[in-house]
Amino acid sequence: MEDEEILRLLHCIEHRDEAAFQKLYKAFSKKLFAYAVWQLDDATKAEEIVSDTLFEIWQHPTRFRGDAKFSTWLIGIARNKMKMAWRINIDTKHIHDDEIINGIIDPTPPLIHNIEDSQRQEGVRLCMSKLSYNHRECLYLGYYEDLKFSDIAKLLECPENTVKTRMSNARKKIENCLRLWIQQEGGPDLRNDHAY
Amino acid sequence: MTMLIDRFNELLPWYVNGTLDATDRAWMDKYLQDHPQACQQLRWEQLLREEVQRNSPNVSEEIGLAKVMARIHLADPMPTVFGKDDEKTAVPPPTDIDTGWQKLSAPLKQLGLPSPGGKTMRPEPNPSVPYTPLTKSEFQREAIRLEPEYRHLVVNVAKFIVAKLSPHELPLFPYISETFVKTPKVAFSFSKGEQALAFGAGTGELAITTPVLAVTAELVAYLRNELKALPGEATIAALNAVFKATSMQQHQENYRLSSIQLAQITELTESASRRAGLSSSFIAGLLELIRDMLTSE
Repeated sequence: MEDEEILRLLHCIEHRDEAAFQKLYKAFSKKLFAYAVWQLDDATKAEEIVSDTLFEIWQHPTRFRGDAKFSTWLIGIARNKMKMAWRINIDTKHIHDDEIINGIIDPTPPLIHNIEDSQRQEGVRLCMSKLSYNHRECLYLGYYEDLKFSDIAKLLECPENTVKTRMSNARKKIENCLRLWIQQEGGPDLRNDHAY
Repeated sequence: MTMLIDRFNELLPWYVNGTLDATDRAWMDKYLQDHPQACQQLRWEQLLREEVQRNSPNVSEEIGLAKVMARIHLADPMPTVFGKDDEKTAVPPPTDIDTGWQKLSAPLKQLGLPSPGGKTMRPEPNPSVPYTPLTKSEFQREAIRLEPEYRHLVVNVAKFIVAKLSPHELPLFPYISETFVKTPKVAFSFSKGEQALAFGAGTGELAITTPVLAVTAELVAYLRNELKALPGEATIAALNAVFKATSMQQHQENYRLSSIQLAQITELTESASRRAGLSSSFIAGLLELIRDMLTSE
């Protein structure tokens, strides 16, 4: 949705236009849900976050000032709500399987393109689910939302170098996890078959 | 060489998602041209990004919409509560009970508050009647005329909150709560807003007690409405169980609120707190405490 249309809808929402709100809702609900379920791994809670976040837009449509992309701004609201509502879960989530995720990093790429699509999808999905909250968030913002690292830093309120480091670690951990997973699943032994 | 590889790896994700600036992009193009083997790493990153994108859940764009619309319809009267509607206090109250007090009667009925004629209207066991928050003037006139057991609960819960968030106000709590129960308007005049605490002395010491009593009264009224489908005395027992963290009673039956009820409580508490003049930072602490109270095992 174009920025102009978003601003127009927000203006209508300010005047309690429910149709405009529903249009805006439908335009951004899936994206917000994707973020929330990615982070929480719980569809019910994710739905609550979506409705809570967009309800905030109904209540305060004029708070968006256009300093960031509207979708990024929404993610910021959702993020705060998640932290407030499920702080304990967020801090302790995904700390299992440290052995798999933090094992010795093999410097070779896992040649993921040499395995079948279905196997690759399953493996990557599994490995992404084992990332820590911060690493998952960075990967999502970088590769799903396609945000600049500077925008991610603003959103997460952390230095740009932290974003770069988190992204780098997330990718390394996925590579490592995927390699181990392929070996455990009886896939090709990638250690002796790498390009560089 | 290591520095070059490090820089390549650092810039790679942003090269893949197309957000690098022109200088860095040109550097990456050149690096890839000079190091063909790095294309393998580039391909892996592209596939990883594709997998992240593919991981998008397949849900309807209307997910949660019905719930939000219900909340909107529930919450829409709220902007007038403690707000613009307050101006209506300047207008003499209508004398015709059947018409002029009609607006006031509905919420009073839900709360089991006395009607303008002085007769207590017991709530009917109809949970489908939505909770309608009172306006500030309505609230100040009538809200504390709850039946004694609910009034007792309001005071108990408010005291618990004050003890946690502003314990130095406790010595004056009995006096303020008693005044609040009798004449809320007078009690409100004690409060200058909790931000006054920052300046130390004077009326600031009475900063949050009255607003917290007001917020708690709305919260109890909401929950009472939610639980009134329960038979007879079970409502107050369930309310006590809901606020078990504040209760001295043992062996209470556990009553669990749904996530929707918790969401509405959060919304209501936030809204009532703002109207009562509490600051954002205090509201955040209050929300956390109330959530703990309502969800603790």
